[in-house]
Amino acid sequence: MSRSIACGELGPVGRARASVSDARRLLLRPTVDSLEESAAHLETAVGALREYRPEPGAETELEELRKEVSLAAALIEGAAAFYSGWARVLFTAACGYTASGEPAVPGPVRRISVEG
Amino acid sequence: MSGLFGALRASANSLHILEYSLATVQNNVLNASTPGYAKQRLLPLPAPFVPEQGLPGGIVPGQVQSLRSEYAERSVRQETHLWAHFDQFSKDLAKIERLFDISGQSGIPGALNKLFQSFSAWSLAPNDLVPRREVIDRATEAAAQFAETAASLNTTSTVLDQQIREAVETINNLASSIRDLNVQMQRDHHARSDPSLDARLHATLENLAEYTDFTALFQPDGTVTILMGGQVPLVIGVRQYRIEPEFAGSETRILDSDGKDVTAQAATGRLGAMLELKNTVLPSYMSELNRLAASLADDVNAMLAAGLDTNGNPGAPLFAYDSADEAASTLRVTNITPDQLAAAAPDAPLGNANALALAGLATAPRLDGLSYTAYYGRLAATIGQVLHGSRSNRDTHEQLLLQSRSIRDEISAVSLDEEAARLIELQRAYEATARVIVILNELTQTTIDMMR
Repeated sequence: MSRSIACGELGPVGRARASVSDARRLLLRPTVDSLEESAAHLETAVGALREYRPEPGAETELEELRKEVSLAAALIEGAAAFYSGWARVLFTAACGYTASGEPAVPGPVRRISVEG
Repeated sequence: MSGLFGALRASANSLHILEYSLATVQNNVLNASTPGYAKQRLLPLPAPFVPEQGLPGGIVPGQVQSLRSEYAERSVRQETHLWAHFDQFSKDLAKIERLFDISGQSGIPGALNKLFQSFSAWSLAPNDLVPRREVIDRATEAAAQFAETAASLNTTSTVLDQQIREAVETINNLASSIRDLNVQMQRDHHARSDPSLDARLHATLENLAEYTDFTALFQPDGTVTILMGGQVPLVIGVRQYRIEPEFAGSETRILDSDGKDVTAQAATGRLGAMLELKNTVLPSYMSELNRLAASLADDVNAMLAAGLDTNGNPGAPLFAYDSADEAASTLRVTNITPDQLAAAAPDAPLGNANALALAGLATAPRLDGLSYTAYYGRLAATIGQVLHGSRSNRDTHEQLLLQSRSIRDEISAVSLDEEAARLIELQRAYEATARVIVILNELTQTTIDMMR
């Protein structure tokens, strides 16, 4: 309740920053659910920025937004690096390495059945 | 009949396992806030099921397994040393930044402004004693400001050395704790699966990560090898290799147990930040300050020497310093007397041309195309920008550290909600098994009674 009132009083940049900030908080615990939820917040931020018209004196607000965006970007990259690294560890443990030394990726399981 | 007894035995085994599982849950709950603890789970194993041979199946207790992920632990340690590096760098650089005033009202820029104003006032009354004395007073003040700032930078350098000594001692103490744990692991085979030792080891590794980057290699004998910067051994098996700081000369170095310079392997973490400030950042700021002080002194002295004093003699030098690489700390005013200041140009004795030229130094490009105050401003701005960048990196890595801890905790930290749910699940299984035993017991008794 208080949040929506506060957002209602903000301009487009302020609303975008609040949405990116919400996304950033969710990305601190990057589960599949929180990643999906944070994407929705980021879309809201994009929507708010579409309404933005350049105005003098907005530098500080824009700088704050830039900082939030860069933190959110770092968290997305951090989560991606963690999970891709983990995937490499798991693939290596499960399938070993390719001839070129890269972790082997498990291929799809194919089965055939003969009837009659 | 053997079937009934077998079933009774299998159910009793189940109760036994449930008891173990309850003990595991209890241990998890008690250690919920123990630093470094990872939750444990009892893995039941299927028992052999061959009824004709009297093997009733069911489950038997397997190993108690830790849910710790070394990959997640390493990720936390990686972010810990990066965050700690920028945190330490920001804290120490903020102390240096305070020495460089940019308002122009105090410190070196304030003193320079007053000196140039005194030159300007002197040019209006070139042969009066009062403005001449004012020039010498303002020059004394400017020299004192340079010396004070240089002394503060030197004090900061000494404080950094003390911090480096303490950080190295902390690293050695933490390495010693890891060595002690290794001794226990090697001596007692059961210690390798002891969750309390495992928790202590991981809490110690996380503390160590604050101070320096390292690689932890887990060995088959249960010990862990610690290599600082991936290369310098701190602990191998039951042996510790101490590192030591060396403060010879202006540069502080880190030496390994053989006395070899391994400073490059201690580049990150709190220790790395202190070394960077001590060996690279501070000397560069001091060098800029020395350049400014030497250039100001040389220019003013050269201009005075090119003019004439009130007696028609070439002007005496106003400033002196010992050497270019310590110009700021040794800058001082000579024993010059007011009448020895050269206000006039050689072609116009008793005039003010030289004093005017000296006043013009306030805006004249002298260093890298900048005036003295602009050069100083550039130095102060550079420090501010480096500090801003460092704080920004600290904030980013603080968030990444929170994220990596959250992922790690998701995998291995004790969740009281989860343990409570597990407890209820075990309680139900316990009740169900106990009920089966009661029924089986009654059935067995009935069968025995029937046979009588």
